[in-house]
Amino acid sequence: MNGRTALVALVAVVAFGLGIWVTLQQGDEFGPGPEPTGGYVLDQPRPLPAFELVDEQGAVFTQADFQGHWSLLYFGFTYCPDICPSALGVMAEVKRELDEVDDLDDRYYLVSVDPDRDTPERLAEYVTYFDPAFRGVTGAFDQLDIVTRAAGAVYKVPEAPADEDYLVAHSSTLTLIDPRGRIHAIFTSPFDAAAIARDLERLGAQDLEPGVGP
Amino acid sequence: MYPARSLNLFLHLLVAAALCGPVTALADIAVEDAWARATPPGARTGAVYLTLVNDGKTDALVAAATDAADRAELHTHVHENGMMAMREVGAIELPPGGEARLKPHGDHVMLFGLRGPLVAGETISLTLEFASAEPLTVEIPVRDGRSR
Repeated sequence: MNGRTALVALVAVVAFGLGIWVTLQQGDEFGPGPEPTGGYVLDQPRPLPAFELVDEQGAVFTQADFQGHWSLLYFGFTYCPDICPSALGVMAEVKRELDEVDDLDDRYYLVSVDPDRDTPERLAEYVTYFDPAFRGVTGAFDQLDIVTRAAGAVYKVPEAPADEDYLVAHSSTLTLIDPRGRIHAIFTSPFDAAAIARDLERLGAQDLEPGVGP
Repeated sequence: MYPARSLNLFLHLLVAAALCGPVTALADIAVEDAWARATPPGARTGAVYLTLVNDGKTDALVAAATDAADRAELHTHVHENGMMAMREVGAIELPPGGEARLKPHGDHVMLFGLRGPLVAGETISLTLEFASAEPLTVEIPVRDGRSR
């Protein structure tokens, strides 16, 4: 990712943050808006633009694959020793909590922003360590950028890493995509697994069908 | 007799001081709450967390080494442009009578080129080097960090 891309991504995240802020302000002024407990629920869920990535099985993965269920996404990379394992641990906790209380169709993804090292095979062995049902997605940078921009996530891969052990800077958020494939809520760190599970449970009760609803 | 008892007490204190002396010197910096995060299969990187309690004078953790990995670095997290980035730091300060907590999402010892997975229940040996104090080698328990 070059400097210009990083700048565009930064502008995107600032604009996105501003959108959330405005949304929250409106929620305060005009009666009860969305009631986030663990994160920000978007007033107007935003559809994901078309993209083409690859999943942990090496199969094509597009925006259509988010249809019909709730998805929680974390943007990170598998060589990450601290932040990412913590976040995936939180996702696993969220899943365990939800498994106990309802039959919500909830799915969990690590979107790797380090495709040069995170092959589908590598992703598969990594994500399933946290939960056997977890999935991994990655792909070309231009396709990843479509998703990260839409989700207000940013990352930076070093341009000329000295060796194989380079580190990737990235934002640390959990992105909730609704059954219509729209970005519905963003959870910022530090994450509270119980609060996120409660939010998903509450939002899941709305039971948004693909292509139906407000 | 009184003088004899005094002498006796003095000798006891002398022995006690001789016994305590080296122990106190070694204990200027103590390692507490140390653990390494168990790694997913295939991981090449790992992290070690610990608290350093400094009962001595101003010092600093300046390096770490372990047989479990090719390289150990002292890292901190910085927030920049909405991103979390890890940076190598030259030293982690240890104020006199103070402590440094290396913990998830903060400072940590970063391991590069793991020679094998870090398995919960096992231990790795880590040597810590300080600006002034003698190096400390500690056994670090590996813990499953997934539910933290």
